[in-house]
Amino acid sequence: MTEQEIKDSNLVEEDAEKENSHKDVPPRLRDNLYSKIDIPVSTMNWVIGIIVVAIVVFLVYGIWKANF
Amino acid sequence: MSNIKTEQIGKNQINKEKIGEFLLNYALYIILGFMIIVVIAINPKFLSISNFVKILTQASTRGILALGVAGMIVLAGTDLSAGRILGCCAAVSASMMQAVTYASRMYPGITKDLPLIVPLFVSIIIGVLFCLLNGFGVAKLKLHAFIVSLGTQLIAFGCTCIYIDSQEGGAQAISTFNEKFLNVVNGSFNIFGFKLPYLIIYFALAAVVVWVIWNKTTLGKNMFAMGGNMEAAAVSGVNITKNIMGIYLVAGVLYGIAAFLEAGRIQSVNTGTGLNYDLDAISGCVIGGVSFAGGVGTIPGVIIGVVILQVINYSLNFLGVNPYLQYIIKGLIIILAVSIDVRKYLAKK
Repeated sequence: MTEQEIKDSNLVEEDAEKENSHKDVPPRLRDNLYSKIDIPVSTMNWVIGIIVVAIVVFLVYGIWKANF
Repeated sequence: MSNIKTEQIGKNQINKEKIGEFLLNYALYIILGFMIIVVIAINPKFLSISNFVKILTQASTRGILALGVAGMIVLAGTDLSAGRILGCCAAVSASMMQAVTYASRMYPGITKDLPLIVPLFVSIIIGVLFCLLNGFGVAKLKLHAFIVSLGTQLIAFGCTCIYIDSQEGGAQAISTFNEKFLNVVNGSFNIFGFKLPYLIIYFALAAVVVWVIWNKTTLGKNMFAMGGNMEAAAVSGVNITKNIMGIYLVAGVLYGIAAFLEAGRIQSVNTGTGLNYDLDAISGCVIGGVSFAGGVGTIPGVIIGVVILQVINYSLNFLGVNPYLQYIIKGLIIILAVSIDVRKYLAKK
C-alpha cells in the first residue's frame, strides 16, 4: 500500500465516522429554533416596543373597566 | 474643545444605548413592576404576606411541572403534553385517594385507605410512560418534540376522558378525598404563628433535586451540551438517545408528583384538569430565561418565571380583569418573553 492509498483510506474512514455520528442526532434538532431568523436587531426592538405598548394598553383598559 | 464635545456626545449616545438595551431586556420585569404598583395603588391589601404565600402555593404544582418542561426546552425541544399528562396522572391517583365513606367513589372495592405511596407511585409511573413515549419519538424516531408531544397530548386527554367516564355514575368529577391525603397536600407548618404550606416545601425540594441533576450530574452536563449543539455533543461521545430519554424520564417523575399534589390542591379532578398547564409551564420557563434556542437555562430562573406568571395571574384576578382579556394579556406576555429571547440571540449572532 502506498502512502497516498493509506491517506485516502483514512479519509474514507473519517467520512464514514462523520456520517454515523450524524445519524445519532435527530435531524430536526440539529438546527437551532432561531437559526432561520434573520432580521435586524433594530426591527426586533420595534416588535418588542409594540408588544409592550399593546400589553400596557390592554392592562390599563382591563383595570379601568373592572374598577372604574 | 471640539474634541471634548464629541467625547461627551459619544458618551451620551453610549449611555442612551445602554438604557435602551436595559429597557428592552428587562421589559417584562418593568411591566410586572408597573402592574404590581397599580394593584397596590388600587388595593393596598395586595401587599400582605398571606397573599404572597397564596401566590407561592398556587405556583407550586405548576412550578414542579415547569421544572420538567424546562429540561426539554434546554434540549431545544418542548412539551405540549405536560398539562394533559398531569390531568391523566391526577385522575388516576385521585380515584385511588377517595374517602372510603364516599358512596359514589370510583373503586367501591377499596374499603381501607391506601398508603399514600401507592397513588403517588402509580401517578409517577403513568407520567414516566407518557414522557418516555415522547422521548422515544424525539430520540429514536427523530421527530420534533412539538409534533410528538402534540400527539401525546391528545392520547393523554383521551385516556383521561375514558378513565373518568368509566365511573358507575358516568363522567363526574373525581372528588371527596380521604383526610390523610388532604393533610399531606394542603397542610402547613406552623412557625411562630406563620403558616408555611407543605406545597411550597415540596416545590422547593423538587427544585433542589432538579438543580442537583442539572448542575452536578453527567446527565445535566450532557443536557446542556446537547441543547447547545447536538452535533458537537454527539461527536464528543455523548449518547444522544440515552440522555434524551433520561431527561424525559426525570420530567415524567416530576409530572407524576405535580399531578398527585395538584389533585389534592384542587380537590376535584375532571377532564378539564391540566388544561393549559403546559402553556403556563412553558411561558414560566421562557419568562425565567430558559431559551428556546436550547442550551440555556437555570433553575432559579424557572422558579422566578413561574412565580412571576402566577403574580400576573393573581393580580389580574385580584383586580377583577375580564378573564377573556386575561388570556390576551398572558398571550402577549408569552410573545414578549420569546421576542426578548430572540433579540438576545440576534444581538449575539
